[in-house]
Amino acid sequence: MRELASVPQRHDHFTEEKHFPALDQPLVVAGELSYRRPGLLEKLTLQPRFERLTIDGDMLTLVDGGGATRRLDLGNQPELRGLIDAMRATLAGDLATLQRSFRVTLAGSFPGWQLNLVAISEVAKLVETVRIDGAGKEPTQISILQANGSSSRMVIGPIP
Amino acid sequence: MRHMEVPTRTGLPIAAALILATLLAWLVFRCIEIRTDMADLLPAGQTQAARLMISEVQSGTASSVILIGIDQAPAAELSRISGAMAQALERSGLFSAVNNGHVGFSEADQGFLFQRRYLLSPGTSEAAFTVPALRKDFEDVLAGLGSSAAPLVERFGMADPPGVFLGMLQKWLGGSRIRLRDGVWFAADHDRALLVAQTRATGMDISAQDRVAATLTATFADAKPGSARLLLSGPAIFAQDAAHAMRRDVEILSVFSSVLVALLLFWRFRSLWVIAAIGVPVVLGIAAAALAVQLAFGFVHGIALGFGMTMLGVTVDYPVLLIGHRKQNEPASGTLTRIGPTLLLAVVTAALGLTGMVFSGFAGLAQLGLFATVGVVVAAAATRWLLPRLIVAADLAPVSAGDPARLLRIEALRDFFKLALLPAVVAGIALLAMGGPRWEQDFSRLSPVSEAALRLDAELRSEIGVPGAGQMIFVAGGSEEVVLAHEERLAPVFDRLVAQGAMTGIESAARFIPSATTQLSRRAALPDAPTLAARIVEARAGMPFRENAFATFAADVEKSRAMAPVVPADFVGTAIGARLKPLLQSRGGRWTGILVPAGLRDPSALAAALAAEPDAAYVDMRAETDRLVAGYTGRAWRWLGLGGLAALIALWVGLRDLPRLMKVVAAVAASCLVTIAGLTAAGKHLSLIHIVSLQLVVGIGLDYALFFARRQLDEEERARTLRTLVTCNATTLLTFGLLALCATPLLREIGTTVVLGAVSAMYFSFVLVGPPPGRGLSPVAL
Repeated sequence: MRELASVPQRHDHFTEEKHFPALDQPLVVAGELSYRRPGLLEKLTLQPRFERLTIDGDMLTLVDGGGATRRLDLGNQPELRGLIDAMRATLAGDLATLQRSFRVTLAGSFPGWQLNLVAISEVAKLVETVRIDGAGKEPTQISILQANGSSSRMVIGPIP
Repeated sequence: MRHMEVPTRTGLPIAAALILATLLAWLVFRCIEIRTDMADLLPAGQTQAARLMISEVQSGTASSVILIGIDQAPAAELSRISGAMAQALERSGLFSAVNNGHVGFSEADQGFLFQRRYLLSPGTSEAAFTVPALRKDFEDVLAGLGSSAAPLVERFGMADPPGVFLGMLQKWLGGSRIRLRDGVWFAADHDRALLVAQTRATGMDISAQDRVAATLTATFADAKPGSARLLLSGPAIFAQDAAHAMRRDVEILSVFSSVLVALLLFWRFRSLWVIAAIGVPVVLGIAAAALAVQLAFGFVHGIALGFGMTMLGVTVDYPVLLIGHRKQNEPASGTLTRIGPTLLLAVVTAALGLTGMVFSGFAGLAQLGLFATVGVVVAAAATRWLLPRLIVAADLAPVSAGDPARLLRIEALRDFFKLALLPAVVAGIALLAMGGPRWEQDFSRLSPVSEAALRLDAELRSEIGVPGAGQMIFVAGGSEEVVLAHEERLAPVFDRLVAQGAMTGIESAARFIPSATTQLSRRAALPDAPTLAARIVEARAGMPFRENAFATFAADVEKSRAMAPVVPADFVGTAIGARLKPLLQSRGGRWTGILVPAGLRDPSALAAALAAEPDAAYVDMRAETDRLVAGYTGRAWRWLGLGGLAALIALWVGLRDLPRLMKVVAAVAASCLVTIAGLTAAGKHLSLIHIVSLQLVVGIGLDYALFFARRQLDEEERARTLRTLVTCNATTLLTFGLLALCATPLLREIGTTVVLGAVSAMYFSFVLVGPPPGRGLSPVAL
């Protein structure tokens, strides 16, 4: 965790594969992921459709390709906040925040590691488990299993 | 009563009478119901709009809303206190709702609404269920699943591809600018935690609101607030503050002025029995007045009581006049012969003048008029028939009539008769130069609520986003259905106004619950199960959706096709129900829809747009109240004029002497003129308060003028009259001078007016009405 906490900001490429029970094939999206300490997380989706998701502190802003902006205060959305914290708090190396919403176990040995999060409290309404794989200071893959059976796998790597 | 001379002096009958009178007053005050709400002072409305407004002010749910702010502490502390208070208030059982941050609906509420979405939402139409529309919806759902909003799409989109539910929620929740911190409401731009509570009791129930206020401050203290500050506002808080401030002022003042008046009377008469004797008619007058108002109106308004008691302070004059005019060892009949007719005339004219108020149609004024009239008459009757026996038994009389020689010197002032009129002339010219008296148009200034309290209220309201009760639209009908249908017809009007920027939205029952007709037409627009199933298959062709992806959607549509329209009663106990309650009310079989515009920037555009709608009445509460009061103020003046005329006739009948009548009227008119000019010069706007106070001035002025106008028998009697009237004047100045110094603006205005009036009445009566020196020895006693 301390290794992760030492990185003040990141800018990476991602590919995400989303599986839904209602669909007979996965949806694949790709784009860039940025993080700046302490609380700014931005997910910029470029394929197949532009979308910018910014989370700054408690304020979530979603801008779609048409420029339509939606804002959401996470203070009123504990489940969603828990899900976002799974990613943000991991990047921040903030174990205390993670443990507020998840039972956290660490597997593997340096440099390859695996963080297993099992949802507790309100976040469990939305998420069952989150698994983050990483190497050294870099998280490389985030897998989420949702409570409704949907799942997603995001592979993170350097921008080509 | 003739030859009642008793050999030994005894004050025992006086003591007994005073004790009995006090006991009676105590009994009366235990039985009467005292109310303190300003709304009770309002007249019965003449128009439908006015009546609706008054009933809304008096019993509307708006009156039971309490706005709470907590600030002046770190934000984390504020949210902790807010949470602790919300929990404690909820537990107290005094509130029907306490809200400190949860926006939107509970899960149960959401489930309830989701099940009925195709009947409730304006998104339902035949077009929404065609193949092209569904295909577009499915494409959006697919795109949504690929986006970050996927959790939301999965939750609502799959079961509701047309999106009627989210569309409906967005419409309902829009418009709020409140900020959330740790799940607690905060003002948008500074650290102030906000709560809204609705009491079970109405805002007008002062004793219940006392408990509410105590609970609020206690829960705040229990939350260990540290440096934090608690701010409370709302109609109930106003009413309570006003009632308390007034009670405090009246209590302190009545104690102070009673002591001062008693001291003055003791100095003048050197006898405690005199003070006791004077108390008897005054106390009897107040008891009878309160009882009469209770019997006639079913309650006594606190303000009528406060004013009335102050007005009846002048009834001290009657016993003072009686005792002051008694010669040593004179039988009661002697004194009465000299002053009885004048006293009678003074009382009759005063009572006639006051009765004008009874017919003003203004509940507050009518109560006050009845209170004052009954009080004056009873106090005078007690002075006339009860007091003589008592004072003769105790042998009460002034110490001496004074030195007649000194009196003659003072009376020499009357030689400058014409010069003495100068103040009145100056006052008249000044008044003309100032453009006449200014009239108060703003009823809210009569309200004892302070400017600071009103500012705080406006601030909290805008921060929380609770529309003020400033403007409303009323829609009436014989049933809920009729009212909802009316409101639906008006919806395009409001949409246009919102588009024009005249306002930001409107809170109405029809926004939450469509009329049954509308719901049935939406139901009829839903396709049957086989049709919908076929369309879904056609619409999702070529998309990666599994066969059963929209099974919930199809099942829900089919269920809606058999669903009975939702009625307001279905919402009872939900968050929507709580919002519906104040918006849709029934009284005596009639239903009224109340629509509250939000963010109203252009009231005249709203009024103009609704002028053409026969079913809707637009009411600007403040303008309507002001108009109402202005109308009644005019009417009050007319009745006062009639009362004055009746008093004039009584004067003529009593005096039968034109020159003397003219002098009396001139003295009273001159003192009123000087008073009005003085008030205007001080920048005051004349309102109902001043009208009432001027009544008092007229009454006092008549007393003085009539007593000076008597054909006095000799110099000794003239000296007695002068000394007695000076005593009366001094007691009046003591009482009302204290009022002029107190904190309640209302009471201060009365005090100032009466002090000004009493001084000028004394002056003008003395110089204008009294006989010129050397010519006052007519042998005829009136």
